Amino acid sequence: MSRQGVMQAAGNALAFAVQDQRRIKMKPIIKYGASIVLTLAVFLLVLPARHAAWSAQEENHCFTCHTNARKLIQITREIAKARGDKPGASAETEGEG
Amino acid sequence: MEPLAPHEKIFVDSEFAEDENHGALGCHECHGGNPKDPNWKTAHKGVIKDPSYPDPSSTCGTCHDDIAENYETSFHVSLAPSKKMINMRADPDKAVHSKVDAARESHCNACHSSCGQCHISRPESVEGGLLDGHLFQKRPPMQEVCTACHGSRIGKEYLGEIEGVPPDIHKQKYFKCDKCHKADEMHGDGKDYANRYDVENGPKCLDCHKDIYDAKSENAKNHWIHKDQVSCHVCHSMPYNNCTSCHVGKDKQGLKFYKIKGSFIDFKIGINPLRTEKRPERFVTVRHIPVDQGTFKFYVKNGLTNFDKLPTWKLATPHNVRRKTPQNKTCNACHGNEDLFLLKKDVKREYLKANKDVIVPPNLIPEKRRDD
Ligand code: HEC
Ligand code: HEC
Ligand code: HEC
Ligand code: HEC
Ligand code: HEC
Ligand code: HEC
Ligand code: HEC
Ligand code: HEC
Repeated sequence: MSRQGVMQAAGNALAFAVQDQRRIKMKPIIKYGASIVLTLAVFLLVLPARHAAWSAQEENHCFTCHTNARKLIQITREIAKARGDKPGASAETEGEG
Repeated sequence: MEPLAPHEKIFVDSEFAEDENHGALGCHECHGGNPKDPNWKTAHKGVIKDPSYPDPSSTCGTCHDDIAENYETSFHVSLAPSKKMINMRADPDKAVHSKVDAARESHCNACHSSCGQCHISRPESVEGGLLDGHLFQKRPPMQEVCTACHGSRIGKEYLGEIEGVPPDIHKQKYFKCDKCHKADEMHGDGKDYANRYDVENGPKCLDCHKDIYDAKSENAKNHWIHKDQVSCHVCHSMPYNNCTSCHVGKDKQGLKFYKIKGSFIDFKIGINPLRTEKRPERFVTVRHIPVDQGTFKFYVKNGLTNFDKLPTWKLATPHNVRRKTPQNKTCNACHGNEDLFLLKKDVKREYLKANKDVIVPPNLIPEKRRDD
């Protein structure tokens, strides 16, 4: 689900919850418990969105590695060595494309 | 252009995280792969290098739906003209046609662009790599993007890289390509055109120069006389690059190659092969393009039996516009000057039929003027 999608789902859940609380008559204790459960549920739903929002900076090995020039130099050398000197393009190409 | 060093190609500027529009998206949301895996070898499993090609609808398109909508009809993605033109020249026999098709796809489809190859990376033709640490460029940089592909003709002309020919006057006025070629043209408009010159959102000289016809303009009379008869480029472009005889094939190692036998700098006025109400001029500049009867002969004998259906000298709008040119110095630098016009003798025998409608019959060359 996209970030907007998750937000929308969370919003929908909240709207439903409020409606439900108005419609159904509940004992205060259940009402209290339900709202805790609901708050938790909403948190859980919103959490992945927050996570996505920050994933570019935190706990993201793509980001940490691709912003580290030293590491990239080391890895690209490794790749070049593994590949050998296999030509990427034909030497027979002549003239302007 | 020098290719980037391998690590420079993939170095992401940490500032990318601060791009309020794109920085919050996880890398894997576009590229796939596993961001939790610290081992680069396994983390890249299933990674998509260019998530904006061929279909950007689930990446860029989720937010820029208006732009992504017509993406497929942008020539940079559809490559429609090259396909349609080769199809017209190809032999109608199904088996032959499909071989031509396969060869064209394999050789010509490699040169395409994508959202990413204009706004994020350099194009593949200059070995790719990020433009500026993955920061999204609102205006694709001219030399790293546009002329990396449009290099041997337009790039050379515009930047003044043809010996003895100055750059385009608009280059000297600090115009980049996108000053004339706007986003709407680059992103396609949903219409499936057959030719580059049919595109409706493209620029016209008169978008900016209507005042050349004003009575108080210095050269109004000259401009009026030739209006809709002679294209602007006939008087205002300098000599430009032409290519001949492109052959494609594969070498012993199975690597694709092309050979273009010759390119030459020349200036030729021909009869407009695409004369329409919107493009009414009879006289236009024409450029030789590299297609040849034998372009695909490595793959199929006699693949282009309908070669003569289209010319090899084609309507051109060279990008080296100057106010003063050798041919507009005086009226008779052009009137009566046979050398400027594409005559039968300028066309190779094997291409005569293809160019019959473009070659200027001697009686149409404007006569020498006595008052000059
Ligand atoms: C909104 C989608 C999107 C996001 C998010 C994104 N990228 Fe990209 N990335 C692209 C596109 C599109 C290209 C251009 C690919 C091309 O031109 O071939 C690209 C290019 C690259 C390239 C260069 C590929 C090459 O060889 O030219 C690297 C490396 C890269 N991205 C890494 C990352 C990393 C690391 C992150 C997270 C910090 C990230 N990308 C986030 C869309 C995205
Ligand atoms: C999560 C939504 C989202 C996604 C996905 C997304 N963009 Fe954007 N982009 C925006 C917003 C919002 C803006 C700012 C408003 C605008 O210019 O349309 C923007 C602006 C831009 C700009 C102008 C930059 C500037 O400095 O003004 C470019 C170019 C761009 N996006 C390209 C892309 C490309 C290419 C992709 C896919 C690889 C992409 N975007 C994916 C939301 C997104
Ligand atoms: C052939 C190159 C090219 C391709 C391919 C391309 N663009 Fe653009 N794009 C441009 C140019 C040129 C501009 C105009 C820049 C300026 O403002 O001068 C532009 C402008 C934009 C803008 C800024 C807003 C606007 O409309 O002016 C966004 C956002 C954008 N492009 C996104 C995309 C997306 C998404 C794709 C793929 C669906 C894409 N571009 C494909 C060249 C390209
Ligand atoms: C990856 C290579 C590539 C890049 C990068 C590229 N082009 Fe193109 N461009 C092409 C190809 C290929 C075609 C023609 C497709 C055909 O005719 O079949 C084309 C066609 C065009 C056309 C004529 C068709 C039309 O859509 O109006 C214009 C104008 C143009 N490009 C301008 C630009 C500009 C300006 C830029 C930079 C913002 C640019 N191109 C970047 C390869 C590229
Ligand atoms: C001063 C305005 C202007 C500038 C700047 C400009 N162009 Fe053009 N370009 C035009 C005009 C006018 C046409 C012809 C359009 C027509 O007649 O339909 C054209 C046509 C084209 C074509 C299609 C015809 C062909 O020769 O293939 C391409 C491709 C192109 N331009 C690329 C570029 C590139 C790349 C740049 C930047 C290096 C650039 N242009 C800069 C005005 C401009
Ligand atoms: C986007 C607007 C734009 C387009 C399109 C455009 N031009 Fe220009 N052109 C200019 C500007 C601005 C100048 C600089 C005028 C000045 O310095 O007085 C200029 C200068 C010129 C000059 C030199 C005039 C002088 O007084 O020195 C000529 C000639 C010219 N353009 C011809 C053309 C031709 C031919 C085309 C079509 C291929 C074209 N222009 C397309 C904006 C444009
Ligand atoms: C028959 C030749 C001819 C044609 C066709 C022609 N021009 Fe000119 N143009 C000239 C000459 C000659 C000058 C003055 C050169 C000088 O200063 O020596 C000129 C000057 C100009 C100037 C400078 C300002 C002015 O008003 O004098 C512009 C801009 C210009 N032309 C644009 C265009 C455009 C746009 C077209 C196409 C619609 C066009 N020209 C077609 C011959 C031509
Ligand atoms: C670079 C070429 C060029 C230059 C310079 C040029 N012309 Fe022309 N002119 C033409 C062409 C081509 C035609 C033929 C148009 C047609 O038949 O549709 C033409 C046609 C004419 C005609 C219509 C009658 C005829 O002879 O066919 C007149 C009048 C004319 N030009 C006057 C002039 C004057 C005066 C000048 C100098 C101020 C001049 N031209 C400069 C190319 C040029």
